[in-house]
Amino acid sequence: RPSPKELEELELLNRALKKALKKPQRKAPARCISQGPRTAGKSSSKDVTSKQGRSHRPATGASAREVCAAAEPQETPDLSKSAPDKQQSFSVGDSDGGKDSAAADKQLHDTGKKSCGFLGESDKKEDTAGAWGRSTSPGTGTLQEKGCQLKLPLAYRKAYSRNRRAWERCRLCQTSADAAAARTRFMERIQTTVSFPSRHGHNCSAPIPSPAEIEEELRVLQDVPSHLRQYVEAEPAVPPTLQGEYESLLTLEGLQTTVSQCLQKLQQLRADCTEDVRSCSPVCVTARGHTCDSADLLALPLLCYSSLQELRDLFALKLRVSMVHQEIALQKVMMAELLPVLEARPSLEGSAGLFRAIHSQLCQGGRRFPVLLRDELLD
Amino acid sequence: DGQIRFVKSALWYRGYGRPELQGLPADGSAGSRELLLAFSWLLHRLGLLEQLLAHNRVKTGDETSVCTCEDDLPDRQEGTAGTAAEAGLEDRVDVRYLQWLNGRLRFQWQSLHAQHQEQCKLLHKIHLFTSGSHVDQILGHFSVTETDLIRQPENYKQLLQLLESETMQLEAFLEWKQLEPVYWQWMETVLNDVAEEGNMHESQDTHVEKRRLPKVTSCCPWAANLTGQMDRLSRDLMALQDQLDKLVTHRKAAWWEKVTAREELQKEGFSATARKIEEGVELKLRDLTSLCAPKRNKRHGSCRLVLRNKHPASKTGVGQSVSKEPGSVSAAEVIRELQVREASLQRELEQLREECWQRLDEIAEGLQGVICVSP
Repeated sequence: RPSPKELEELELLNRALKKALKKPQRKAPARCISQGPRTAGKSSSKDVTSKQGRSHRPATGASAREVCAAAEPQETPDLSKSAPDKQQSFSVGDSDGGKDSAAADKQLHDTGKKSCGFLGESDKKEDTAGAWGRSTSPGTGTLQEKGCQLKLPLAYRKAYSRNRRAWERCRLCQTSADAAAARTRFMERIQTTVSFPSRHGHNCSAPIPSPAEIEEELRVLQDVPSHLRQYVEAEPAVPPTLQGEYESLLTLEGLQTTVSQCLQKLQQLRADCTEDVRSCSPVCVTARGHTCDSADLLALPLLCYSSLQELRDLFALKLRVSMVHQEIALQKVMMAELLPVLEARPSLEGSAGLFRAIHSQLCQGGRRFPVLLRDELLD
Repeated sequence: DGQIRFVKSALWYRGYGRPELQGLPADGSAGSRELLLAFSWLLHRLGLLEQLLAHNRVKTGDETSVCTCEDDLPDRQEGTAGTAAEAGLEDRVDVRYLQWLNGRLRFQWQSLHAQHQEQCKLLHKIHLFTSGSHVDQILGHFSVTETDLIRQPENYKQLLQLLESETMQLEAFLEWKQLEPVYWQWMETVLNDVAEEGNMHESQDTHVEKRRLPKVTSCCPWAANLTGQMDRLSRDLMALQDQLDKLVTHRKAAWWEKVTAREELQKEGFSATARKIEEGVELKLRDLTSLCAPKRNKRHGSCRLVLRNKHPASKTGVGQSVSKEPGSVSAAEVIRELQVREASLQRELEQLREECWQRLDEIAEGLQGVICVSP
């Protein structure tokens, strides 16, 4: 049951909103929502204005609290769970007296808890960007509770829906039969002049893959060793049963075949590469492109995650891949630059420090250093 | 001039080897018909319109990219590698500066990581708290942009305009699909014209064309880069092959010993089990082959992050994507792919480091000393 204090807060809230609805200012309504009733009107405005200047993301926390009140004057967040589409006035409490406001308030809490999931008090203690940290009142206007009842502005909703429908129509749109036929005829005729000369010495006149295709196949092949190694490591060193041993043997033989197939494929790609180069224009700019299957291109591209941990893992991994990629590029450059420096020197007297530094950079990522011992026993 | 070279090489990259195009003069004075043919070819071959539409899609959500391929950092010119040693560059640039830069880079990565994790927390909150509010049921919740949009609609007028102009583009696309037959029929007539002219000029042009396809031997940077990668991959594969060969020979020997020793294997019972085992292994390896085959549905470009709790009903099993809509991928899938990619890249890095190690060992032989490294 809501306490008298909460009722008081709600009344103040309603009053502020009424004021807000009369004059469409963004900052005024925020005052009452973001802080408890006592601090309303004083520090919160400072709070809000300081957030305004910040970049987009950190400000979301503060703005989220204002969201419910500062929505466009025509739109007010719904309180009742039963009729989410009705534009109900937020100030239920004022007109109906204490009892109903209590009921509405309780409904709000319930709705918040049910559809949004209750995350607990821990959120308020977080220091994240300071944005959430100031929300002290346990729930009059946080995004946590109101968030699932927010409504996008009408103009946006309309534009978005139109846009969405247009995308769907385009995705489902088929090429007409006439067009497909004419297109096929055209492509067949031109393809003979376009394709690179076929492979020599083969019975099948399969066209040589384009540079783009070669790169794509190489990329796939590059992942193969990791997969293979996983399989190899999965095999037990000493299988317990006879059947297990047979299975293990067969698996390993299968992996062997795969490896040799890959090596063959690699050789083929290498040959194709030289073939392609023959038709290359003298100065070729590396135009990199992605061959994406156009079947689902027009569908809404979504990346669905199911938990915070998954999202974090995703981001962490993406960064890791990017990092290793950069490290590889750096490694190549450093090799090209630093090794010649050492190789050009006739003797390394006095360059022990340099040698150690270069060794650590090139071989151990700069983390560890080799130890150089003077070989005095030779003397 | 640069544009023309770019266009020629980009077309070559996609497999458009039409000599007439490559032979066009470099000043762009002739060849509009060839360009038209090339354009039509690209239009179909690459799904150009769909690609452009998808690529320029108006982003209203929290976007992140999904593909694991990175744009290669530009290769440095080979020429400068030698000069560093000759000019005694190490006197001017202290290697400690390099170390310091490395340290800074590492620090930047760490702070970037921290920022990302922070961002994840906030994103998750917003997605969670606004669940159930979005007009679009498939999305289910707002993005950061949309949440801010509620607060300050006037900041997003441009977004609305973009959305609306995109809708118009999409409608134009639909119109194009209606008119498509006309276009292709027209292109056929263009080809007819080319063929007619070609018949007239054939005798003259044959030797001219041969001259226009210069034999490029080794100066193609693309090929050089690719060959390097292929060499490393082949070394890796061959090492794996050696390892497997040894393992298999060893196991085979052990197996045959056991088989000849035990007579019960000669019985019928075992051959049935053997067949079952073989089938099982085949299934296992089929997964592997599918992993090794090129995936056709790779998603490039950015996707909108959407929080979606797994419904118990739609759990189709381990390793299956939960989302059934076209164009959507699950984070679990992407994570798996990223892990594979990370492993491959890490392997590549280690190979490069081993190479350095060997070369440095050779250098060290000239030194009166011994190198050892802490493990």
